[in-house]
Amino acid sequence: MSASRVRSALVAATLTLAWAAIAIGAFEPFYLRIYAQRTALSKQWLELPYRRIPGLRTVLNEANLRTPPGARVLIALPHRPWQSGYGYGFRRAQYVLQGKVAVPLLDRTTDMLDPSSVRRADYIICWRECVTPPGFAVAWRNQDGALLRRAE
Amino acid sequence: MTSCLLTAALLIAVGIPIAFALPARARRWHGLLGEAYLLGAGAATFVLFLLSLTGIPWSRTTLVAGLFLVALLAALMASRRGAPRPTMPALSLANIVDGFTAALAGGHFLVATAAPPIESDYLLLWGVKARMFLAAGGIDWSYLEAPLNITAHPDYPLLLPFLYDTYAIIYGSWPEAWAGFVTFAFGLAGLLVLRNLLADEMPKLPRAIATLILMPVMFSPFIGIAEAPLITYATIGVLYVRRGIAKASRGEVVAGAVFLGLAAWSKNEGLALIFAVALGMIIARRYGLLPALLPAVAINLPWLVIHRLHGLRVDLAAGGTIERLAARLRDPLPIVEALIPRTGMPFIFWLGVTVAVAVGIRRMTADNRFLAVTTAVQFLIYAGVYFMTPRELTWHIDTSWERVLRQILPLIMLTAMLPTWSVIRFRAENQRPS
Repeated sequence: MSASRVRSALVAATLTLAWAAIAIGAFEPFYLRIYAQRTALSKQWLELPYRRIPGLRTVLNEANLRTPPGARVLIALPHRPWQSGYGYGFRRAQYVLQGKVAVPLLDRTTDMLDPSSVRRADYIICWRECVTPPGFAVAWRNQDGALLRRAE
Repeated sequence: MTSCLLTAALLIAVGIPIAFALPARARRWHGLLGEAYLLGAGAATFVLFLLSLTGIPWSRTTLVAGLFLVALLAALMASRRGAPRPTMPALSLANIVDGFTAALAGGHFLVATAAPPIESDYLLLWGVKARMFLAAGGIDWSYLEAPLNITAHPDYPLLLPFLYDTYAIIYGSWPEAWAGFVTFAFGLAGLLVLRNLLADEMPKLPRAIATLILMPVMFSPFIGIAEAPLITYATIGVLYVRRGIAKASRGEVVAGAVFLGLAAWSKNEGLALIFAVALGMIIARRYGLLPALLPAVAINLPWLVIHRLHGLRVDLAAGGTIERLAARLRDPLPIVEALIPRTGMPFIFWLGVTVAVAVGIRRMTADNRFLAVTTAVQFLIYAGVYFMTPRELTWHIDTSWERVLRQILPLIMLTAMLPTWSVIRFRAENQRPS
């Protein structure tokens, strides 16, 4: 076998190995495992985006069903500060409350309570520590939270 | 599920005449279906955008009427061009490999639709915008302009929110459980087009193997966010331009420019890619083809102008960029050390890419040189962002580097695989007995 043929064979073998390495590195076995695990993972993933505030997903979804389009809904959560605390729940409330205006309880820049927030709200969604402010009545509640409606 | 499939079928039906209207060469049927979905999704984006700008409320009637009009105009253009008919691929034993690829794609479908998307960026950026727009019956400028919502990146382009709204409008309500289908559909469409484009490069068996290897990077694991459309449009756009360079075809570059334009309508990184592609064309000395890239810019001008008119802020453009860049360039090692272990791909992958590029680099033709330069420039832009970011550096790298690198993984792999395929073929031919 001539030197050039040996060199050709070596280059071809090296490239075959390189392609194999790329294939192994890029391969995603989860796309096969999912066939057996999907049912269990479906339940787990449903709550996953809300895991830091247990029960919030249900409270938000129930409140969304009970509030009219355009309603101003105060999101009363005890978490502080905004970053990685209150903001986590508030942003999720914005997503769920489609067509409504989510009113923050905190000022995002100062992390202080916004005293005007209750005045601006037609509804209040609260999580766990629910105190009904004057002028509001309970519209719906479960063990994780409540929806309060401004009384007529 | 049925309504998702119906919506996808509607987008394909609208996209077929648009694909025929593009000045590109004949396709196989699977390539046409993939392109039609991608172009139909782009058409739906522009219809909803135009309806918003003209103050016409979104509804099933206005959306479908707009799409019908686009399809009609495209059909008229296509009939003038006398577009070539698609060809039916012949089945062979090599298609057994495709069975495995299909099984993996099916796995991605199960992942994408197991539950509503769990990505934070879906809830906080893409999904929330789409839901706000759907409720408002158009772009909700009050939401985008509110300082409270600056973290939702109001300046980001709107293809993905508009596409969610397209599915929702056809369905009649928000498709919460099936939102991930959009991510899957982009992966599937992209892989079909990629497979069609590889037909210029390789015989069927290596093509089937390359498709299998590329499948996990064409299907985004980040369900619900804009990486999926960006990966697909960017990969297809660059490959079309590459083919235009190889064949000195202005029409292929124009087709690529349309996909690149849609990539930039998916995420701002797509705008950077247009610049990287132009630079790649210059390095490949194809100056004469550069004007054919103009559609990519033109497609994006309306949003670029309008979001500035509305004063939507770009948070990365906060003050002090030059000072941060200068300071971090003086000591780049901490950033490089932070980037290397967070690529999201194992060492063996990068080893394979490095070896293949090292062997293939001497044999790079102009089209492959274009691909390599474009990919390298885009890579450097992505890494360069961390030298300018106003955000906390470690947090920014932790939360974004793997994800943005995913956007160009198909291009990185193609840079490694396309030139080396020709080397393997050349060696094999040399070994044949005369």
